[in-house]
Amino acid sequence: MDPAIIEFIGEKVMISIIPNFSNEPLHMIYGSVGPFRAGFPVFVPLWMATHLRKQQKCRIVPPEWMDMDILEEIKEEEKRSKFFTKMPCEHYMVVAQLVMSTAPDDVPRCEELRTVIKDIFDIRESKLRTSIDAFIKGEGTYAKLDNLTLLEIHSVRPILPYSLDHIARYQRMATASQRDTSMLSNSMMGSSSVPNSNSLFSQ
Amino acid sequence: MSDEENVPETQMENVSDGAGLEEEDDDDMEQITAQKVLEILETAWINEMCAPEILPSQVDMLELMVSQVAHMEEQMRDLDKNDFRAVVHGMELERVRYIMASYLRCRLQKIETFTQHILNQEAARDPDEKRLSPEETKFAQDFAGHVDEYFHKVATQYMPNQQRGEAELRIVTPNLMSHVFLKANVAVPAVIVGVDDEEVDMAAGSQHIIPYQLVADLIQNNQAQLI
Repeated sequence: MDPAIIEFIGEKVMISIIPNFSNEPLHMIYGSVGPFRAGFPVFVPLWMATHLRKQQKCRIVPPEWMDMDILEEIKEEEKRSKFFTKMPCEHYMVVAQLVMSTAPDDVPRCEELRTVIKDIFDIRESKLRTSIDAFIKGEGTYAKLDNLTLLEIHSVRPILPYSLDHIARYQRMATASQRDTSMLSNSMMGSSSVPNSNSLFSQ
Repeated sequence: MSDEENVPETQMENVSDGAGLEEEDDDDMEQITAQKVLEILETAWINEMCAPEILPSQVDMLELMVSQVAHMEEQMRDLDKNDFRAVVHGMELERVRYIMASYLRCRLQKIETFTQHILNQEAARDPDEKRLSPEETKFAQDFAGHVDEYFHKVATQYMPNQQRGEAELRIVTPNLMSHVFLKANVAVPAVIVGVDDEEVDMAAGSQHIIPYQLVADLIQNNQAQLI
């Protein structure tokens, strides 16, 4: 999947905005939104929020977790824990990126937050790479990936499944040729002086 | 945003004017809300993008959604182009249309890659287990015919017989053992996760990487979805 598609999926997250206009509730296919009253917060999908913000029709209320103290705590927790910790939002990177690029003025201490979120992402990415390395060396075909967010899963999407597929293919080939060789050597029993061309594969 | 709020516009039974789809569908279809249809389509779309083989077509859901989109466009025609409502509804419809188009495109891509394999499988399936919609079946057959004809015209007819090879050998099949990312929707006990029959209980909401074939039935039963 394209990163753009992950952003597309992430844009469904609901976020609070403070509109500067009033309107009746909107009955969207995805569900109803509103009513909008100037100055009162209302929850809308992220894609609508970014659009309205670009039109200067609202202010975005940053989600609760977009806070220095909470994020610092998550970062420490992520450093301490051997496993992946649960993120406050399934699409935290997408939300952070979109909110901070469309409405940097609505987020207090925007630059610092950006750094912390990037730090968290980096810690998680390096943890992910280490565990993948261990996983492939351990020759597994199955792993649990709890608490990883969609974007993180897709950051290893091209390489991880493909390399596992290749390893699985080699293993199947190896077993198949082993079977061939043993069949061949069985049929050649007694004539061991004949060079066995297939024996190369089994070694 | 509450789910209980069944406002007229988001309910499928109210889009019947002109479209007349409901009469063909069974009773429980009439009660389904547009929201639910969109959710089903979205899941189908993501599953389709991630699965190596072609999945059962959601053609009923697509038709419902197409008529819903047409109905909303009809209603919006009277609105001023710069009206707040028109802009927002318009954006949502674009998103819905993107999902539908991307879903169909993804299926066509698979049909073009695995044409003969898919056609053979379809021929072996019972009528109510068919995975392709009638249109897709027609496309697959035409596509296979055209490719064969083209190759025959430009190359194979000039080749000696023994070099044309077996048609069976040329069939491209998807690798069903390719690894996929999966999220369990409900708790699934004792899923076999390895060649050596190792079993794992999946908790609801847990995520895994696993060869596709071992979980293909979970996806079809909607017990899990691909991510």
